[in-house]
Amino acid sequence: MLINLQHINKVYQQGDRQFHVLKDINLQIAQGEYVSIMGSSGAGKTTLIDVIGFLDRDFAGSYEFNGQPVRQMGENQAAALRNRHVGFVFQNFKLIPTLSIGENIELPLLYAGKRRKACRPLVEEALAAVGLAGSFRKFPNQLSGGQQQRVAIARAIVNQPDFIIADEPTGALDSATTKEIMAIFTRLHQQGKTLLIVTHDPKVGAQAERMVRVADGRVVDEGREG
Amino acid sequence: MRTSELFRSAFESLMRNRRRSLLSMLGIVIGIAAVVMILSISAGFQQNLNQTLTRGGSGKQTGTIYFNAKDTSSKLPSFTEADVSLAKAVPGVAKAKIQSWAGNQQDVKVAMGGTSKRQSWVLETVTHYNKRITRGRGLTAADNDLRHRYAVVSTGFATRWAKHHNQVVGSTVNLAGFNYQIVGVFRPAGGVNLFTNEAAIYVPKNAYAIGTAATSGNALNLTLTSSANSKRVLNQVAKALRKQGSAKNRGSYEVQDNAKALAAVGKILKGITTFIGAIAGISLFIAGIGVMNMTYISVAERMPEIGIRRALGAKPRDITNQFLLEGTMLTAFGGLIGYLVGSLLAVVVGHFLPFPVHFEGSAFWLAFLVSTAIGLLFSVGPARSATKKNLLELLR
Ligand SMILES: Nc1ncnc2c1ncn2[C@@H]1O[C@H](COP(=O)(O)OP(=O)(O)OP(=O)(O)O)[C@@H](O)[C@H]1O
Ligand SMILES: [Mg+2]
Repeated sequence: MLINLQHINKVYQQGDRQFHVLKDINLQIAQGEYVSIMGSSGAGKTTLIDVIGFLDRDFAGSYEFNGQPVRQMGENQAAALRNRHVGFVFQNFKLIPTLSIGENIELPLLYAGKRRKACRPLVEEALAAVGLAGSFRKFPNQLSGGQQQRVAIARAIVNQPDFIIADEPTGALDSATTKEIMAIFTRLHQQGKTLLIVTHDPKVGAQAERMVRVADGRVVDEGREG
Repeated sequence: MRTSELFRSAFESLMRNRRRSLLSMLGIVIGIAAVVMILSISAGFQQNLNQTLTRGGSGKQTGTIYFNAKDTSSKLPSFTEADVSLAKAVPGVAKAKIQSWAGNQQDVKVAMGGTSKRQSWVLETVTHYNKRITRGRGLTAADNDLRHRYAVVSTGFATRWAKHHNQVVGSTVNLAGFNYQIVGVFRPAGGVNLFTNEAAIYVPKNAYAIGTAATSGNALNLTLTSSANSKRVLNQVAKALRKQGSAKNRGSYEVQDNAKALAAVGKILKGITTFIGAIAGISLFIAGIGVMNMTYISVAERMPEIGIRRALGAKPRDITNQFLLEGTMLTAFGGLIGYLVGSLLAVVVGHFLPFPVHFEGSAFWLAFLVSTAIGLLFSVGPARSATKKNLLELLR
């Protein structure tokens, strides 16, 4: 099992008030699965994928990634896991505005210890895969929202990660652009990547093999297709 | 991240904020430039001093024993080979040599007239002299051949002399027991070398030789072994001479410790260097605070960027190194510019100094190391603060 969550609980402390955001989450995801996570706003979806993506290790319960316990990891080890195994597509792109498109995409490669020269062809390849070949030297503010989202996807796949986590990848896009982005995800799935996509859009959610519903911090429905 | 890529990223980041980078570099440039300028000027001064006081800059300890004869007209020699042997026998003396005055300078005591005390002036014997004569005439080769007792005096001597005499040119001055007629006044060239006095009185060599041949060699130059205590050794030589010297009954021996003179001037120099060094240090400290401030601002501004980088796999160490390197590259580069500016200023200022400035390779390394150290020291705090914030908060 690639991802194995057992009895995950997460509590936010704010002054003397406590917010129990994740309540006894049990979730298993195998290599190569295409999973969508749906639920209303504030249900705890982002909180859940932050845990799954090694961004948040401050939770109770057991999380094993490839059999490795995640909660006990040090920050350096978690950073290495994020770099090598996860491709993140954030809700609001999260591109660095002072860096060019190419420089943004090459960041995961640089932190993996590659030379800039060696990065160039890999970056071009990732850009071509999202249909943005030749935009290496442009800057984020010169692109449309849909194009920026594609850059974010290119950055997520450039390091050949095991699985890709996307938080509302189509939230700000029109239906035509949404289709294009979803086509990219389908192709990645066919290439054998594990995909985990948070969405509000039922059409987007339906495209996945498996739909996980989250409500008020709990997994309420773990539907499987077929 | 690879170190080479880290350097490149830091450099590019500094270039993106060119104006801010230049402004925070300015303090370092000024501080280092001041230090380098002071160092090269004081090194030039020190070198010049050593060359003058130790004759040839050998750096060896030297000293001189003078003989002051009671009867200045005495024709007997002050130092003989026996005295040389006597001096050499004293432990700590490496070489002893009778100083001969031929064509050289010596101090003479001159009665300036009135009730004033006899004053010491530097006299130089020459075959002819004709430079910067302002009144009267110079000394010709014929004056020397004919052994005329003529003298040419400096404007400084003339001013003093005029206080008690109606005229300068034409009056008679007693030098080492003989009367010389002042035939001209010259204007001194001004010190090219700080510690070699320009003579105030020039007289024909041959004329001076007749009267004072006997006293030629009224000084004993000593070179000491490097480990010797110069003060003690020189006093021991003087003591031996007072007891057994060939001229012990005709006058007194006087010690001049060149090391002591050197040390005294060195002390003053050190004081000045320390003072200016302290000012430069304060300016460098303030510059360091400036760099720290800039790095803190940069860290605060780039918090979202830090969050993204960490989410993509940057370790806390990578983030810290990035800001540390940005601050350090800034100051190191500022230090190099400061070194160039300081050297340039030293050359310019050197044109107005009586000695040449001297550049030492160590000054370059000092500038580089000090500026690098300032960068490291002052950006380590902000660079560390860059990783203190919770990753989730950065990404929100
Ligand atoms: N730092 C925090 N302190 C306190 N409560 C928090 C904090 N972060 C999130 N929460 C709370 O946790 C709950 C879940 O938030 P989360 O961001 O996971 O929701 P979400 O399902 O992603 O919603 P959306 O669809 O709007 O993105 C919310 O009620 C939110 O108020
Ligand atoms: Mg969310």
